[in-house]
Amino acid sequence: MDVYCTTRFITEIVKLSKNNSYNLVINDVCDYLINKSIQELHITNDLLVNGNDTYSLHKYRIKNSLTNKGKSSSYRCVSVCLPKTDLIILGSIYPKTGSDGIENLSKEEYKTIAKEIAEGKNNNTLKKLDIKNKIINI
Amino acid sequence: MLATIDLKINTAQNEFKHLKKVQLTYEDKINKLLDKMNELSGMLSKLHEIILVLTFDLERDMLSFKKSETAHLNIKLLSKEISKLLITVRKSDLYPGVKTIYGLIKTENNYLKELVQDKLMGIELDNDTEMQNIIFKTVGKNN
Repeated sequence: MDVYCTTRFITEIVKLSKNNSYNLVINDVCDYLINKSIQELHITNDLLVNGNDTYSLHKYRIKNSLTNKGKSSSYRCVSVCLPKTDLIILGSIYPKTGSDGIENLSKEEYKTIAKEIAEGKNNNTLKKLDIKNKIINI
Repeated sequence: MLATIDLKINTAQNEFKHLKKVQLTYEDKINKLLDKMNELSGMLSKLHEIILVLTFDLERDMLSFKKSETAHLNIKLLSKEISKLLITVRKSDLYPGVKTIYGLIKTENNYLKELVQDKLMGIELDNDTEMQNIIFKTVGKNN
């Protein structure tokens, strides 16, 4: 399974990792993805799945390992899963609680993120996330 | 003749005796209030447990939740009732036990609300023409 990130996702995760409350965010994202198959991710926390099962939009809830709070206070990661090509594209990440906490995204925000994912994929501007070594290949 | 200091001590003693009588009437009220607060704390702990079990069950069977036509409506109603209850309880949140459990329930209730919002958002996105074009653009090159 290949994991790619949009420019927005990289900007957000780099910003979060500079904050003491979220500085293990890259590790948390990689730990969440590493032992999961594309099929498992395709059916987890999906907001939308297209008719022929080739596309799904998700809001994964990824635990912040720096807090004892549960999933309800975890990071939200908006992603697209393309199971037929074994590809996950991470579009946005934000914490639900804390100093940088965000409540919920609007429909327009979801569409903007999905559009950026489509553009990034078609223009080859996505960056690969090495989940084994926990490095974004910028 | 009493010395001035003795008079002052005597006055203080009399005032204290009066306060002690007042304090005795409050002691009973305070004890009753503490009992009530402990009861409230126990009730909230039970409520927290119910919400935790519900969110756990929802996460385990998200597919059924998404397919059900009534589940999100019922959860929305439940969450609304919990919010109302929390508004009443908020007045008592200076009591430490209540304050802690109040915060936990609030977080879990927000999570329930989020699950409902996500389901509705999924339906909205599914019916959105622009979103369908975005999906087509994303998968187009692969298929």
